[in-house]
Amino acid sequence: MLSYALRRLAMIVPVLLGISVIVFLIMAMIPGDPALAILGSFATPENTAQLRQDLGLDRSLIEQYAVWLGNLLQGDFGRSYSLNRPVLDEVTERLGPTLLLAGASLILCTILGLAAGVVSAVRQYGWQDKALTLAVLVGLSTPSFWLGLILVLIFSVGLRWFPVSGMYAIYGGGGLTDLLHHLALPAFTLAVVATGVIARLTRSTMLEVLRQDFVRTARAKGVTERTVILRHALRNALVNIVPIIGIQTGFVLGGAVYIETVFQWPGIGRMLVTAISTRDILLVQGGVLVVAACYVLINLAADLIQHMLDPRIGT
Amino acid sequence: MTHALLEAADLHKSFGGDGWFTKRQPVHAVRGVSIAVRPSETLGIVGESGSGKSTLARMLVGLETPDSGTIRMEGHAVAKRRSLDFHRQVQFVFQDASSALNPRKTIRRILEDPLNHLLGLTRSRRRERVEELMALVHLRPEFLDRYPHEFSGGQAQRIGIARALAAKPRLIVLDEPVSALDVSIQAQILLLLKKLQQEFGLAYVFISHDLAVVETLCDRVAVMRNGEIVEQAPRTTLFSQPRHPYTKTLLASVPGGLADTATA
Amino acid sequence: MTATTTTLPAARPGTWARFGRNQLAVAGGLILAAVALLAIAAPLLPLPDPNATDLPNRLAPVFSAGHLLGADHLGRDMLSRIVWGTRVSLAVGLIAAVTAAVIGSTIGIVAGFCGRWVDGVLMRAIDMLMAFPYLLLALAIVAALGPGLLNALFAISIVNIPFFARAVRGVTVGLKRRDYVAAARLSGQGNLTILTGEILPNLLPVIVITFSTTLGWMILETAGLSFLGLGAQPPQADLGSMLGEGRSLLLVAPHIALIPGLVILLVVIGINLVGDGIRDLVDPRLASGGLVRPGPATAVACDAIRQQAGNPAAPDAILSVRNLRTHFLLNEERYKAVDDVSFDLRPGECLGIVGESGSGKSVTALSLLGLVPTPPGVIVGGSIRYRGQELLGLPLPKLQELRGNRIAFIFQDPLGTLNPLMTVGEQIVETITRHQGVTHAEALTHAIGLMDRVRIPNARDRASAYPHELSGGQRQRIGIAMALANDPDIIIADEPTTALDVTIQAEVLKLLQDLRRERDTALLFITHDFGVVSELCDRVMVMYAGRIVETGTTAEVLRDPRHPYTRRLMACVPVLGQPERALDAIPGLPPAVNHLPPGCHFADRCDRVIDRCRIGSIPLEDLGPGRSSRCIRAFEP
Repeated sequence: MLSYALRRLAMIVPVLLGISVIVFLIMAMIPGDPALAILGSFATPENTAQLRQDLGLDRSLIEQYAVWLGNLLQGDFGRSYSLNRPVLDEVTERLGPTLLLAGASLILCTILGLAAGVVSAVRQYGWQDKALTLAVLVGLSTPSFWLGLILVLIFSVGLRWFPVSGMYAIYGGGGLTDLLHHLALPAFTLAVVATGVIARLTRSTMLEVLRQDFVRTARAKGVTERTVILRHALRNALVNIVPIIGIQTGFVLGGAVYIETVFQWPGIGRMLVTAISTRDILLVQGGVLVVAACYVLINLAADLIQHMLDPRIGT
Repeated sequence: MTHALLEAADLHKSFGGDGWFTKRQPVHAVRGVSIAVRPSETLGIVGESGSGKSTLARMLVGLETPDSGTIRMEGHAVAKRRSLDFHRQVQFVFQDASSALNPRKTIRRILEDPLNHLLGLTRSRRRERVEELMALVHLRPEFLDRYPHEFSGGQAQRIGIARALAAKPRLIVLDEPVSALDVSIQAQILLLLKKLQQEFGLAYVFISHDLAVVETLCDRVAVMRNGEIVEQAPRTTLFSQPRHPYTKTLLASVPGGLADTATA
Repeated sequence: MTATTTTLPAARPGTWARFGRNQLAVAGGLILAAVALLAIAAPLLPLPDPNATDLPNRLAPVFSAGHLLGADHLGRDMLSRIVWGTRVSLAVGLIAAVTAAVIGSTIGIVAGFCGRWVDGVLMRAIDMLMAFPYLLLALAIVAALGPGLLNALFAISIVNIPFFARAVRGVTVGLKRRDYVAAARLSGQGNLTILTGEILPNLLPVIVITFSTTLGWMILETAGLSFLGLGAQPPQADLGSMLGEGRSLLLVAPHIALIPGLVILLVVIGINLVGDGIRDLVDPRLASGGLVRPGPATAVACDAIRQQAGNPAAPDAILSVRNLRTHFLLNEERYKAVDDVSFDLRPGECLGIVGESGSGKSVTALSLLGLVPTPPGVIVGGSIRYRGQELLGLPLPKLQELRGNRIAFIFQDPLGTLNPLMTVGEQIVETITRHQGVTHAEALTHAIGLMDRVRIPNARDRASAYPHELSGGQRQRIGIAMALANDPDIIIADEPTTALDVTIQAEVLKLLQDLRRERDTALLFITHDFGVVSELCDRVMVMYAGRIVETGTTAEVLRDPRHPYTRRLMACVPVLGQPERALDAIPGLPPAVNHLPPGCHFADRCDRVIDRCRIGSIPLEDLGPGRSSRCIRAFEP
């Protein structure tokens, strides 16, 4: 297990490098003069020339990449001109709220999705299955940014159960209850689509596993149906479900962009949208790199969990 | 002595052992196997799972490339990438007949493939030949325009045999052609194979794990274990006077007091 | 031998007909068709100009005069804007999906088919794209290229390419290894012919499935980018940008934001419903009704319990089965897998059931403790008595008390029948703790003892091994140990040695024989192999097309078979040491059990058939004690 973990850890180095290459290439797609694009309305002849030199625009693409990567490794993600502060400071400040939001909805969608999927499979074609299948279909098809607006309209504006936006109350906020109170609606909205995906997958995987011969063996041993479903079927199903939960993290982190915008959540997603509209390219680049790196680590965790669940995967 | 029809000398083949991050021991599937098939004879190859018999069969027809060793066709070494002429002479029948038929092609198209690519027959000649082939394996010509999923295992295997026969080969390598079939169907296929051999003077390499089937069908038998041939002899000698201890164990393991009781 | 004259199974219902039966998919199709029609016909419809401002009517509510769906903050007609916006959204989503499908599938095919370094390079690149959270990569691309509908479209396509590439590559690699591709090579086909003729047609389902699942996302995501102000730029408007504009007016005029969202929801639901329908059609596992959950016990039709008449159970029998009928109900067809099977099993004896596939021998065995999957299996009649207790209709908890306790099973494929994620020791322990009030530690000691008993070397160590770490023979020994765990009265073994090599089979058979002698357990042994029967069984019954056709002691049946099927079946089997014996074959195929002929089921293949064989139902003729044959000519020599 440990050797697998170490080897798997070593394998993320090329992945991180690959991510940096792609981000670098995307930034190389910027039409026109990148230095001008980066500086936008802050461009003066002097700082443009300075930035051109910093970026190494007069050198070859490969050299540019080397310089750029070298800077990244030293923690130099450049400077946000619209905020007038280092990119890394801004990004790390906003990473926490985003991870909190994404983590909360990940927990939510895993619990809800697994529960819904198992109930659906066990009561296949029963009313519970039909109702859940319909709910999952609607959940999967709902634009989350629109759902967020509706929930705000109903629960915040109408019923006044939850705050409309933000992470803490402006006056007298700050405690854990205040945070959870603010977190509830956005986390739920963000979890809806992923819950649908996980519920669907759980249902079909459970149905598939329940047809396998070892389930018949378990029944032939006389164990109760509860044991058959939880101990034999669900455990085997989880082997296939865990990596998908890992991938869902990617959708949740991406979807956070909408949710943070709708609920004014002070995370990276909202920062990115603002940065794109103010053409603060370096801020976008830093945000994308950091979130992608987090995602790689989460997938690594999912992989290790799957490895623990399944003794058949090579050591 | 005239040349053997197909002759393999000192074939080796191993799999695996080339992972990027893992150093796995390569599996030596076939090690140093030499066999020869004469025209119109049946050579049986018997072995249990993992003995390397299927790998050997696939190397003979060119579906796997040996790591080392030579294969000669009537004395001429065959190229690593087999020629069309080689495929005209040597054909193959698969164990799982249904999976060897493309589910999205009609039986007619499946049978026409070798006629088209190996023999270059015209459309009208192909039509005739395809019906001939169906008659040879006792299938009704109406079945030609159906798809593989509509056929039972035995029927699919007949189609597989018809496809192997299409280019009028001289040797057919059969990889466990009846082991997936029920016994009553298995007997139909075995009788069909015997009939075709007499009619066309075919040579067979017959791979099987079933000693009784091999004994009924083959002239000479080679016993394989762990990638090697442990004993090779004419049928009567091998079954009446096995020399190698493994052959003896195999023969002793076959269940059945039928030998004493059956009167049919 | 005559030409095969069996009828083929009826062709499957047409693709469209099956799609039509899926009501949800049809509903989705109708929604989609309606929306698409509106969008396409937008220029022809009598709608006001979507960009014409009408300030006096700004923020007009829904159903106001002249503005059916109200008006926005510039007084522009919402209905018209929705129709035109839908047109844009659909077009963008569709183009993005087609682009991603074409590029992604091409990458997948090339990588999968070429293999080696091409595969390595392409798939590593795809992995890198997948390493980004979905939307973030699109954002980065839009950030570089600048906001705009075309750039959003481009970004969304790129982000979706990996899904196609991965799915298509996976299937291509699988297809490349198929036997029929090997067969095509041997037929002289080159790479290009194989790619277009053998592989591409079989790839279409996965491309269609991926397309239908991703199309919905792509429409959602392009709308999302527009919502964030990064897609369509004014005056151009799609549903997403309308929603974005409406957001700031949420409290004043909620309809401006809500209606475009509702349309997106409707469109995507339609796409998903149709997509699910298509997937059910083209995914063979789903198409065959494959994903139906089998219940914990076979359903017993109500009238079955009432029909417990028939001959009384033999007084010395431990298990007696009377007129058992197990049918499968599939696609409105009734398959009579087991029809009218009766037999007695006495303590300590070994009864063999012999038959070919589809004869009903396994279904008979599984019916005894309700292990036939329902759906589609239903026990529709008969009686099964264990020590005088009727098992049919027994409540599930009582049945579970018996399973693995008084009556135990050994199954065929020893790999598939063990739970891959549990150690073998734990799987034996589970059986013990379920039925005996012992601690886990005691059960483990017992389990190790059992493993010793079935001659697994180093039992204590091996107990913590997983099934995949054992050889086939050892796995089957674990299966046997599990069956012995609670010292059952009856063991039902369903082809326990069929998957094993002949030398291993001999060892396992010997083990079973020893254990049976040692413990006096009754054994019901299912097999297709007369040789195995002759080694192990005291009595044998031969089954054909769901019925018993002959019974008797093993010696008698083998020496003097009294049913033509038994006789000819034995003549089919080559016997070691008798190569000169003429091999006989039975022409044709067994009848399909959903279309059984009247009279004798074997009549069509029988060489002794007379007209009377095809009339009425043929009874099992009593030929003396414990000996019978279902043949009207059984008494003839």
